[in-house]
Amino acid sequence: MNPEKHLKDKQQKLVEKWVDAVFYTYPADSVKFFKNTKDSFANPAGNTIKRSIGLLYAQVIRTKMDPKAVAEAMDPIVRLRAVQEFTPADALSFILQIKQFIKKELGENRQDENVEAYLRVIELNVDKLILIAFDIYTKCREKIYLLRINQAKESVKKLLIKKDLLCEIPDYNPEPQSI
Amino acid sequence: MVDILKPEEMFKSIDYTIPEDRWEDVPPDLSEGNFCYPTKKKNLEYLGLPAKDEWSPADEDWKLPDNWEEIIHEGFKERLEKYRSLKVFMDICVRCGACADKCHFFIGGGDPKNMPVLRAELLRSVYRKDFTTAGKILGSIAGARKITPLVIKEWFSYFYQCSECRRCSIYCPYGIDTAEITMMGRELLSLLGLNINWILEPVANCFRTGNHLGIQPHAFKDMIDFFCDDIEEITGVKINPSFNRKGAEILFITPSGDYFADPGTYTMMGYLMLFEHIGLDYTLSTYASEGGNFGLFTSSDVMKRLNGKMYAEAKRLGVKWILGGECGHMWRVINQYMDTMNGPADFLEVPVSPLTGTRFENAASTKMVHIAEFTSDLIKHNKLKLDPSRNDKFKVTFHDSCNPARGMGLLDEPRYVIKNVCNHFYDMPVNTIREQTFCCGSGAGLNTEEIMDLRMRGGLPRANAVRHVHDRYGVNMLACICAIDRAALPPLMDYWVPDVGVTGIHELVANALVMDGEIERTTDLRFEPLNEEEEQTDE
Repeated sequence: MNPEKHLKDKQQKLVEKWVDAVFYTYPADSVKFFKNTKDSFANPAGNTIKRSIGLLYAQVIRTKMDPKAVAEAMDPIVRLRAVQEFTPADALSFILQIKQFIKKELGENRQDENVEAYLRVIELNVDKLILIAFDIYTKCREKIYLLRINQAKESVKKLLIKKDLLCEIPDYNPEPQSI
Repeated sequence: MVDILKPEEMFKSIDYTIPEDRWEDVPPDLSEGNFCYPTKKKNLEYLGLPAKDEWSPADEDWKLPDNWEEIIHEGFKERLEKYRSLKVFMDICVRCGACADKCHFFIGGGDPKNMPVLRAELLRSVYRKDFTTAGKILGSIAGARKITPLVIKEWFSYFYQCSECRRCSIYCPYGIDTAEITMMGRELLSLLGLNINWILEPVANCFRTGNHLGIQPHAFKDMIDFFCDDIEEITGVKINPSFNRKGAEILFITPSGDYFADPGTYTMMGYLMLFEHIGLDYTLSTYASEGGNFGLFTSSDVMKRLNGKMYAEAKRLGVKWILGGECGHMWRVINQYMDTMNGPADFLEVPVSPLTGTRFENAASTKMVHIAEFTSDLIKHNKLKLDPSRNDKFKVTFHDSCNPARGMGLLDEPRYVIKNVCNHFYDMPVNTIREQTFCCGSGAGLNTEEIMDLRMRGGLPRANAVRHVHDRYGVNMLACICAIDRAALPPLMDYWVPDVGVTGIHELVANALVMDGEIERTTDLRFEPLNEEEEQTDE
């Protein structure tokens, strides 16, 4: 069998499974909204996840993955999860889940040498995916820290205070001052 | 291969119907990065508010006052008696869920307690226990719960994850204003000394010095003079605005962000240029040097005190009416609360534009006109000479700032102004603008750096819509009419749509404004070349 073609044919089903697995990482009460609200402006997070996963699936099943396309597909979903309430591992763990889905899909044909060799490629592809995601995630976090620093830096308040242009509320002093 | 649950195992454990933990049992995440820093004691003491020793929301024991339960109960009771609306809001919700998926914090983060209905339930459940017969007798069966220190923590966490933008309220079939529920929640917390510094420090500064940042009168004047020097360099026109001038026709008040922080400063320059051009008889005040009112985010009493300053100054100076700058929540205070707090301002006159004769009936009681209304009226009457091609390098979209949009219905005037001073304007999708506009994610005092993650995910729906017009039309400039927006949107754009800048609309007006006696302009107000070709040549 041609496993790549087979997975291409099964794209819709497997993407749906993968998307569901990502949604499952959110609180149960929110899953329905993320999953079912189709309007991409009313539900940007859910639709970002669906779009990214669809594009990532199309790449990960290829024997020759395009790293640039992977990075482009990966950026929106990682950028999103980097500012949601996840640990770094939880933010990226969804990537590993595709291995299980693909293995199960091709499970019956694993004796086929083609399939076995193809699965080794998939393993490598997923490894690449996670490394690309790691880079993006780190850049996003660096960006967040930079934004925090910039906000503090751009506020030149301290400088103005030094120059006697600003006057803050004086520190509270409970001791009565002698005059 | 990493050892993870098999998909089948994973899906089996998904419970779409009833969550394993009841929402009451899920504790709030109060780890570092998930809360705003509490206020310094000195700020509370300065304002005469209940003060509390230094503490952190990450502390296990918040060391609440011994009688904290009584304080909350009495405070709640007092507010239910004072505000009929609060009692109605507590009783009338049928949990239809229309608001549930309308909050930008829920949409961007997925935390169910950021569904407005559930955020309100945090307060409502305690209301039922303390103030309804069914709740007192039936307890949790009637949706009631006893207040505990953990509930207080939950309130602090979630009432400071609401930007009081009121998007949810426009979808409520009963008209429940969930922002006011947050306001009540914050008021009750304030009774225990639980406030955040990013709100209370500006409030204390405003009360003492006249503005959020503690800018003293001489520094305020220096800053304005500095802008006038820049304006002269760019246009050749020298401007000498007056300060605290008695007998001026109009008092102009704008948020301090407009003269303190970029890109608001360019908007401030825009006001000054416009007023000079039309020969407006106005004055600036070093006392009422703040349009913003962080009292709105603290309590009605504090809001009233800060709002009162503007009118006291208008009275002292003997002006006829007040013109207000591009501020957000100032307008909610003016339009929805001012009249019953400090109004009606009968000592002022119903605003009439001295140039067009237009009588602003909508401001007949508050006597305060929004500058977008004022300027659009000028344009409508051909009072401004404009060259929109000076803004040709900008492809502009407009973010309806929540409070002017939903708090006063200011939807068309800013667009009218922009379309007259720019040649390229593109609106964002309909369900993200006008009444349905998405918050910047940092309103109501949440524009502080320690919760940058929350701000980024809360701002996602807005940024997503900007990305759409950026990708489709090449939009590179996001206009807004709120000083908090001008501070909050640049980092939001930097994270989600890095090629889009942020501006106030009067910066665009001033770029296009052909002033009497001006020299040929080569740069915009940011000292950047007027068009892209020059920019590229320079490079």
